Amino acid sequence: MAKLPIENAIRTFRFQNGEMTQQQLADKVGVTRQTIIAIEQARYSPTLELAFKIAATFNVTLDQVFQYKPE
Amino acid sequence: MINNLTYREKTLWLNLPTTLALLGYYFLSVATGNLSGEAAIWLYLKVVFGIVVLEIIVLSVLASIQKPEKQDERDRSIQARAYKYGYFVLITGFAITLWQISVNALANRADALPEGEHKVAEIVSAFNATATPYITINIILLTLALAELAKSATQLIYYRKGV
Repeated sequence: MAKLPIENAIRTFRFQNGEMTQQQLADKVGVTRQTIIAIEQARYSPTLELAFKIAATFNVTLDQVFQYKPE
Repeated sequence: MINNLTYREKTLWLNLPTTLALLGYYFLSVATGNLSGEAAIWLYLKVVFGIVVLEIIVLSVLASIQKPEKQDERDRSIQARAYKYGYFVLITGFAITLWQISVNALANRADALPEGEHKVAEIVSAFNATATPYITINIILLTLALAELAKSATQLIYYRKGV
């Protein structure tokens, strides 16, 4: 499975936010748990709107959650 | 593994083999058997009915096990990419059908063509020996089936591979 150039720290932020589950995060931002899994594993680049929603859920800025790292 | 599949992915995994098997049976019957046009139509209707009934059963069983989820942006993104491949198959089938109909029309007008063009019509006619409405309809049905299968298969690949 090819990894996309956008890395993220969602797993870390979930852990720091009371060990939030993938399902809880998915419910908060309005997607399926599998989409959160795919984003965490860098198999799916979320839309800008979803990326902002995820950052807002953790009360951090977008670049703290997502980093662009081209090969 | 199975828990990491979305509701939509599970429905695709369940429906694809069913559709493949039933449509495969129909096209195999058409290709190998001596079905009359009427028998083929009835067989096709039975196959479509079978697909619909099986899909209803599969979706009902799945819905009783897992709560259906709303389509999210990843599902829509994957679906959009899958439609691209389905469309390509559809357009290819459409072009083949159009070619077949055009060639058939040309072959039928062979006698009305000017002397010099008779040879062209004869050649075209030789290539077109199988161009009957029965085959044309089945090419259209095959195109529709392949386009749908291409779409579903692409969706499954993108769900695993990532987008």
